[in-house]
Amino acid sequence: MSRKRSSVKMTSTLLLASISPSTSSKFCRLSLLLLLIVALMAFSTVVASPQSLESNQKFTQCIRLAEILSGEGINVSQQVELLNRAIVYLEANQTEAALPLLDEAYQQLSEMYEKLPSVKLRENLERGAVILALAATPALFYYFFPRLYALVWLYNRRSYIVKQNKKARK
Amino acid sequence: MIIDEEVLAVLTALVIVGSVLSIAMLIPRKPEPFLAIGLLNEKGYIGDYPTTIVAGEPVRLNVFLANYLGRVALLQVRVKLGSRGWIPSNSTPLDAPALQNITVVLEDGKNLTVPVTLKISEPGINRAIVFELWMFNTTSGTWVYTGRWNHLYVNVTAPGVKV
Repeated sequence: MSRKRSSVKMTSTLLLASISPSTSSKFCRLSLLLLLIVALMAFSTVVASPQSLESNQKFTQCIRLAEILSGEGINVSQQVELLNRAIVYLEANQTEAALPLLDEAYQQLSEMYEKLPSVKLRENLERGAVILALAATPALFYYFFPRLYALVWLYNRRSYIVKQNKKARK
Repeated sequence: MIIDEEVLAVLTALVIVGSVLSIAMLIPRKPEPFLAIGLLNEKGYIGDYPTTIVAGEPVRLNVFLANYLGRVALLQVRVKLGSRGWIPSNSTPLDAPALQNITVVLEDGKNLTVPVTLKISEPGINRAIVFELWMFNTTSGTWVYTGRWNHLYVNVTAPGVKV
Protein backbone atom coordinates (compact mmCIF):
# COMPACT_ATOMS: atom_id res chain seq x y z
CA MET A 1 0.00 0.00 0.00
CA SER A 2 2.85 2.34 0.88
CA ARG A 3 4.35 1.65 -2.54
CA LYS A 4 1.10 2.67 -4.20
CA ARG A 5 0.96 5.80 -2.09
CA SER A 6 4.51 6.71 -3.02
CA SER A 7 3.70 6.21 -6.70
CA VAL A 8 0.71 8.54 -6.33
CA LYS A 9 2.95 11.07 -4.62
CA MET A 10 5.44 10.79 -7.49
CA THR A 11 2.68 11.31 -10.07
CA SER A 12 1.49 14.44 -8.25
CA THR A 13 5.07 15.75 -8.08
CA LEU A 14 5.45 15.18 -11.82
CA LEU A 15 2.20 17.03 -12.39
CA LEU A 16 3.34 19.99 -10.39
CA ALA A 17 6.69 19.97 -12.13
CA SER A 18 5.07 19.95 -15.54
CA ILE A 19 3.01 23.09 -14.82
CA SER A 20 5.19 25.80 -16.23
CA PRO A 21 4.55 29.01 -18.20
CA SER A 22 5.84 27.34 -21.35
CA THR A 23 3.07 24.71 -21.30
CA SER A 24 -0.01 26.86 -21.34
CA SER A 25 -1.79 25.46 -24.34
CA LYS A 26 -5.26 23.96 -24.07
CA PHE A 27 -4.00 20.52 -24.95
CA CYS A 28 -1.54 20.52 -22.10
CA ARG A 29 -4.17 21.68 -19.65
CA LEU A 30 -6.51 18.92 -20.77
CA SER A 31 -3.82 16.30 -20.52
CA LEU A 32 -2.90 17.60 -17.07
CA LEU A 33 -6.53 17.39 -16.01
CA LEU A 34 -6.72 13.82 -17.30
CA LEU A 35 -3.55 12.91 -15.45
CA LEU A 36 -4.96 14.47 -12.30
CA ILE A 37 -8.14 12.41 -12.64
CA VAL A 38 -6.10 9.23 -13.16
CA ALA A 39 -3.97 10.06 -10.13
CA LEU A 40 -7.05 10.67 -8.00
CA MET A 41 -8.56 7.40 -9.20
CA ALA A 42 -5.39 5.57 -8.25
CA PHE A 43 -5.52 7.16 -4.82
CA SER A 44 -9.15 6.14 -4.37
CA THR A 45 -8.27 2.52 -5.20
CA VAL A 46 -5.55 2.64 -2.55
CA VAL A 47 -8.07 3.80 0.05
CA ALA A 48 -10.58 1.13 -0.96
CA SER A 49 -8.06 -1.72 -0.89
CA PRO A 50 -8.35 -4.28 1.97
CA GLN A 51 -6.81 -3.06 5.21
CA SER A 52 -4.08 -5.17 6.70
CA LEU A 53 -4.59 -6.39 10.25
CA GLU A 54 -1.71 -4.42 11.71
CA SER A 55 -3.03 -1.16 10.28
CA ASN A 56 -6.19 -1.49 12.37
CA GLN A 57 -5.23 0.46 15.47
CA LYS A 58 -7.98 -0.93 17.68
CA PHE A 59 -6.98 -4.46 16.77
CA THR A 60 -3.31 -3.87 17.60
CA GLN A 61 -4.28 -2.18 20.88
CA CYS A 62 -6.40 -5.20 21.78
CA ILE A 63 -3.50 -7.54 21.02
CA ARG A 64 -1.14 -5.41 23.14
CA LEU A 65 -3.54 -5.42 26.09
CA ALA A 66 -4.17 -9.15 25.73
CA GLU A 67 -0.40 -9.72 25.70
CA ILE A 68 0.14 -7.69 28.89
CA LEU A 69 -2.80 -9.23 30.74
CA SER A 70 -2.02 -12.81 29.76
CA GLY A 71 1.63 -12.22 30.68
CA GLU A 72 0.42 -11.36 34.17
CA GLY A 73 -1.56 -14.59 34.33
CA ILE A 74 -5.00 -13.07 33.68
CA ASN A 75 -7.43 -15.25 31.75
CA VAL A 76 -8.23 -13.59 28.41
CA SER A 77 -9.81 -16.59 26.63
CA GLN A 78 -13.08 -14.80 25.89
CA GLN A 79 -11.34 -11.77 24.44
CA VAL A 80 -9.03 -13.96 22.33
CA GLU A 81 -12.11 -15.67 20.89
CA LEU A 82 -13.59 -12.27 19.99
CA LEU A 83 -10.33 -11.21 18.35
CA ASN A 84 -10.13 -14.41 16.32
CA ARG A 85 -13.66 -13.83 15.09
CA ALA A 86 -12.73 -10.23 14.23
CA ILE A 87 -9.68 -11.45 12.24
CA VAL A 88 -11.95 -13.50 9.99
CA TYR A 89 -14.01 -10.41 9.18
CA LEU A 90 -10.99 -8.12 8.80
CA GLU A 91 -9.34 -10.55 6.38
CA ALA A 92 -12.56 -10.61 4.37
CA ASN A 93 -12.44 -6.79 4.40
CA GLN A 94 -15.70 -6.65 6.38
CA THR A 95 -14.61 -3.93 8.79
CA GLU A 96 -18.20 -3.10 9.77
CA ALA A 97 -18.74 -6.63 11.04
CA ALA A 98 -15.39 -6.70 12.83
CA LEU A 99 -15.79 -3.35 14.60
CA PRO A 100 -18.41 -4.41 17.22
CA LEU A 101 -16.28 -7.43 18.11
CA LEU A 102 -13.17 -5.28 18.43
CA ASP A 103 -15.04 -2.70 20.51
CA GLU A 104 -16.33 -5.40 22.85
CA ALA A 105 -12.90 -6.98 23.21
CA TYR A 106 -11.24 -3.59 23.73
CA GLN A 107 -13.76 -2.57 26.38
CA GLN A 108 -13.34 -5.82 28.30
CA LEU A 109 -9.55 -5.73 28.03
CA SER A 110 -9.39 -2.08 29.11
CA GLU A 111 -11.51 -2.82 32.17
CA MET A 112 -9.29 -5.76 33.04
CA TYR A 113 -6.18 -3.64 32.52
CA GLU A 114 -7.52 -0.96 34.90
CA LYS A 115 -8.18 -3.60 37.54
CA LEU A 116 -4.82 -5.28 36.99
CA PRO A 117 -2.89 -3.64 39.91
CA SER A 118 -5.55 -4.50 42.49
CA VAL A 119 -5.97 -8.01 41.08
CA LYS A 120 -2.21 -8.56 41.21
CA LEU A 121 -2.03 -7.22 44.79
CA ARG A 122 -4.82 -9.54 45.95
CA GLU A 123 -3.25 -12.47 44.13
CA ASN A 124 0.16 -11.79 45.69
CA LEU A 125 -1.34 -11.42 49.15
CA GLU A 126 -3.23 -14.69 48.77
CA ARG A 127 -0.12 -16.46 47.57
CA GLY A 128 1.94 -14.97 50.40
CA ALA A 129 -0.60 -16.11 52.98
CA VAL A 130 -0.59 -19.65 51.60
CA ILE A 131 3.23 -19.76 51.56
CA LEU A 132 3.35 -18.46 55.13
CA ALA A 133 0.85 -21.08 56.27
CA LEU A 134 2.81 -23.84 54.54
CA ALA A 135 6.10 -22.60 56.05
CA ALA A 136 4.58 -22.58 59.54
CA THR A 137 3.11 -26.09 59.18
CA PRO A 138 6.22 -28.09 60.31
CA ALA A 139 6.67 -26.00 63.49
CA LEU A 140 2.97 -26.20 64.30
CA PHE A 141 3.02 -29.92 63.62
CA TYR A 142 6.01 -30.44 65.93
CA TYR A 143 4.35 -28.54 68.77
CA PHE A 144 0.73 -29.62 68.48
CA PHE A 145 0.88 -33.17 67.12
CA PRO A 146 2.16 -34.90 70.31
CA ARG A 147 -0.44 -33.04 72.36
CA LEU A 148 -3.28 -33.87 70.02
CA TYR A 149 -2.08 -37.44 69.81
CA ALA A 150 -2.08 -37.66 73.60
CA LEU A 151 -5.59 -36.23 73.76
CA VAL A 152 -6.88 -38.74 71.23
CA TRP A 153 -5.02 -41.54 73.01
CA LEU A 154 -6.64 -40.61 76.31
CA TYR A 155 -10.09 -40.12 74.74
CA ASN A 156 -9.99 -43.63 73.27
CA ARG A 157 -9.08 -45.06 76.66
CA ARG A 158 -11.56 -43.03 78.68
CA SER A 159 -13.49 -46.16 79.77
CA TYR A 160 -10.38 -47.88 81.08
CA ILE A 161 -10.29 -48.57 84.83
CA VAL A 162 -7.04 -48.55 86.67
CA LYS A 163 -6.83 -51.52 88.99
CA GLN A 164 -4.32 -52.39 91.59
CA ASN A 165 -2.26 -55.39 90.64
CA LYS A 166 -1.80 -57.26 93.90
CA LYS A 167 0.52 -59.89 92.45
CA ALA A 168 2.85 -57.28 91.16
CA ARG A 169 2.81 -55.58 94.55
CA LYS A 170 3.90 -58.78 96.27
CA MET B 1 5.51 -39.03 76.32
CA ILE B 2 3.04 -41.23 74.46
CA ILE B 3 4.65 -40.71 71.06
CA ASP B 4 8.30 -41.56 70.70
CA GLU B 5 10.57 -38.58 70.06
CA GLU B 6 12.30 -40.34 67.16
CA VAL B 7 8.94 -41.09 65.54
CA LEU B 8 7.94 -37.46 65.98
CA ALA B 9 11.22 -36.32 64.39
CA VAL B 10 10.65 -38.57 61.36
CA LEU B 11 7.04 -37.35 60.98
CA THR B 12 8.16 -33.71 61.27
CA ALA B 13 10.81 -34.31 58.62
CA LEU B 14 8.14 -35.66 56.28
CA VAL B 15 5.96 -32.62 56.94
CA ILE B 16 8.92 -30.30 56.23
CA VAL B 17 9.59 -32.02 52.88
CA GLY B 18 5.89 -31.80 51.98
CA SER B 19 5.60 -28.11 52.81
CA VAL B 20 8.84 -27.22 51.01
CA LEU B 21 7.61 -29.00 47.86
CA SER B 22 4.25 -27.25 48.11
CA ILE B 23 5.92 -23.84 48.47
CA ALA B 24 8.19 -24.59 45.49
CA MET B 25 5.13 -25.40 43.39
CA LEU B 26 3.36 -22.21 44.46
CA ILE B 27 6.18 -19.84 43.53
CA PRO B 28 5.59 -18.73 39.92
CA ARG B 29 8.41 -19.59 37.54
CA LYS B 30 8.99 -18.51 33.98
CA PRO B 31 9.82 -21.50 31.79
CA GLU B 32 11.77 -21.05 28.56
CA PRO B 33 9.35 -19.47 26.10
CA PHE B 34 8.89 -21.09 22.70
CA LEU B 35 6.62 -21.31 19.70
CA ALA B 36 6.05 -24.41 17.63
CA ILE B 37 4.81 -25.13 14.14
CA GLY B 38 4.16 -28.57 12.71
CA LEU B 39 2.91 -29.94 9.46
CA LEU B 40 0.23 -32.64 9.51
CA ASN B 41 -1.42 -34.52 6.68
CA GLU B 42 -5.02 -34.15 5.52
CA LYS B 43 -6.27 -36.33 8.38
CA GLY B 44 -4.30 -34.37 10.95
CA TYR B 45 -1.55 -36.93 11.56
CA ILE B 46 2.22 -36.81 11.18
CA GLY B 47 3.39 -38.64 8.05
CA ASP B 48 1.66 -39.90 4.92
CA TYR B 49 2.13 -36.53 3.22
CA PRO B 50 1.37 -36.08 -0.47
CA THR B 51 4.46 -36.43 -2.66
CA THR B 52 2.89 -35.79 -6.04
CA ILE B 53 0.18 -33.26 -6.64
CA VAL B 54 -1.64 -32.08 -9.73
CA ALA B 55 -1.27 -28.43 -10.72
CA GLY B 56 -4.42 -26.46 -10.08
CA GLU B 57 -5.95 -29.13 -7.87
CA PRO B 58 -6.40 -28.47 -4.16
CA VAL B 59 -3.94 -29.96 -1.67
CA ARG B 60 -5.26 -30.38 1.85
CA LEU B 61 -2.89 -30.25 4.79
CA ASN B 62 -3.05 -29.22 8.44
CA VAL B 63 -0.76 -26.85 10.26
CA PHE B 64 -0.22 -27.34 13.97
CA LEU B 65 0.63 -24.29 16.08
CA ALA B 66 1.57 -24.13 19.75
CA ASN B 67 2.24 -21.12 21.94
CA TYR B 68 4.35 -21.44 25.09
CA LEU B 69 5.54 -17.83 25.28
CA GLY B 70 3.85 -17.19 28.60
CA ARG B 71 1.45 -14.73 26.96
CA VAL B 72 -1.02 -14.36 24.13
CA ALA B 73 0.54 -14.07 20.66
CA LEU B 74 -0.74 -12.96 17.29
CA LEU B 75 0.70 -15.53 14.91
CA GLN B 76 0.73 -15.79 11.17
CA VAL B 77 1.59 -18.75 9.00
CA ARG B 78 2.84 -17.65 5.59
CA VAL B 79 2.57 -20.31 2.96
CA LYS B 80 5.18 -19.91 0.25
CA LEU B 81 6.49 -21.87 -2.66
CA GLY B 82 10.18 -22.72 -2.81
CA SER B 83 12.22 -25.50 -4.29
CA ARG B 84 14.94 -27.96 -3.25
CA GLY B 85 17.75 -25.86 -1.79
CA TRP B 86 15.59 -22.76 -1.78
CA ILE B 87 13.94 -22.88 1.62
CA PRO B 88 14.03 -20.57 4.65
CA SER B 89 16.64 -20.71 7.40
CA ASN B 90 16.41 -20.11 11.15
CA SER B 91 17.21 -16.45 10.62
CA THR B 92 15.88 -15.52 7.20
CA PRO B 93 12.50 -16.21 5.67
CA LEU B 94 12.08 -17.36 2.09
CA ASP B 95 12.23 -14.45 -0.32
CA ALA B 96 9.04 -15.37 -2.13
CA PRO B 97 5.50 -14.02 -2.12
CA ALA B 98 3.04 -15.65 0.26
CA LEU B 99 0.45 -17.83 -1.42
CA GLN B 100 -1.71 -17.74 1.65
CA ASN B 101 -1.65 -16.24 5.14
CA ILE B 102 -3.24 -17.81 8.19
CA THR B 103 -3.56 -15.37 11.08
CA VAL B 104 -4.63 -16.41 14.53
CA VAL B 105 -4.46 -15.17 18.11
CA LEU B 106 -3.23 -18.01 20.28
CA GLU B 107 -3.33 -18.13 24.05
CA ASP B 108 -0.40 -19.21 26.19
CA GLY B 109 -0.17 -22.98 26.65
CA LYS B 110 -2.66 -23.63 23.87
CA ASN B 111 -2.28 -25.32 20.51
CA LEU B 112 -4.30 -25.21 17.35
CA THR B 113 -4.57 -27.27 14.19
CA VAL B 114 -5.54 -25.19 11.16
CA PRO B 115 -6.66 -26.85 7.92
CA VAL B 116 -4.94 -25.43 4.84
CA THR B 117 -6.07 -25.90 1.25
CA LEU B 118 -3.57 -24.94 -1.41
CA LYS B 119 -3.52 -24.78 -5.15
CA ILE B 120 -0.25 -24.74 -7.04
CA SER B 121 -0.76 -23.60 -10.59
CA GLU B 122 2.63 -24.35 -12.14
CA PRO B 123 4.02 -27.86 -12.60
CA GLY B 124 7.54 -28.58 -11.40
CA ILE B 125 9.81 -31.09 -9.73
CA ASN B 126 11.00 -30.84 -6.14
CA ARG B 127 8.84 -27.87 -5.30
CA ALA B 128 8.88 -26.98 -1.61
CA ILE B 129 5.67 -25.91 0.07
CA VAL B 130 6.98 -23.73 2.88
CA PHE B 131 5.08 -22.82 6.03
CA GLU B 132 6.77 -19.96 7.88
CA LEU B 133 5.71 -18.86 11.35
CA TRP B 134 5.60 -15.11 11.93
CA MET B 135 4.66 -13.26 15.09
CA PHE B 136 3.31 -9.75 15.47
CA ASN B 137 5.52 -7.51 17.58
CA THR B 138 3.18 -5.09 19.33
CA THR B 139 6.04 -2.79 20.38
CA SER B 140 7.28 -2.12 16.85
CA GLY B 141 3.95 -2.82 15.17
CA THR B 142 5.51 -5.17 12.65
CA TRP B 143 5.50 -8.87 11.81
CA VAL B 144 8.65 -10.67 12.88
CA TYR B 145 9.88 -13.98 11.49
CA THR B 146 10.19 -16.43 14.38
CA GLY B 147 12.77 -18.63 12.68
CA ARG B 148 10.39 -21.58 12.77
CA TRP B 149 9.24 -23.16 9.53
CA ASN B 150 8.21 -26.42 7.93
CA HIS B 151 8.46 -27.51 4.33
CA LEU B 152 7.16 -30.31 2.19
CA TYR B 153 8.77 -31.38 -1.08
CA VAL B 154 6.31 -32.27 -3.81
CA ASN B 155 6.36 -32.94 -7.51
CA VAL B 156 3.72 -30.91 -9.24
CA THR B 157 2.44 -32.55 -12.41
CA ALA B 158 0.44 -30.94 -15.17
CA PRO B 159 -3.28 -31.80 -15.21
CA GLY B 160 -4.02 -34.97 -17.18
CA VAL B 161 -0.47 -36.33 -16.92
CA LYS B 162 -0.24 -39.80 -15.39
CA VAL B 163 2.63 -40.44 -12.98
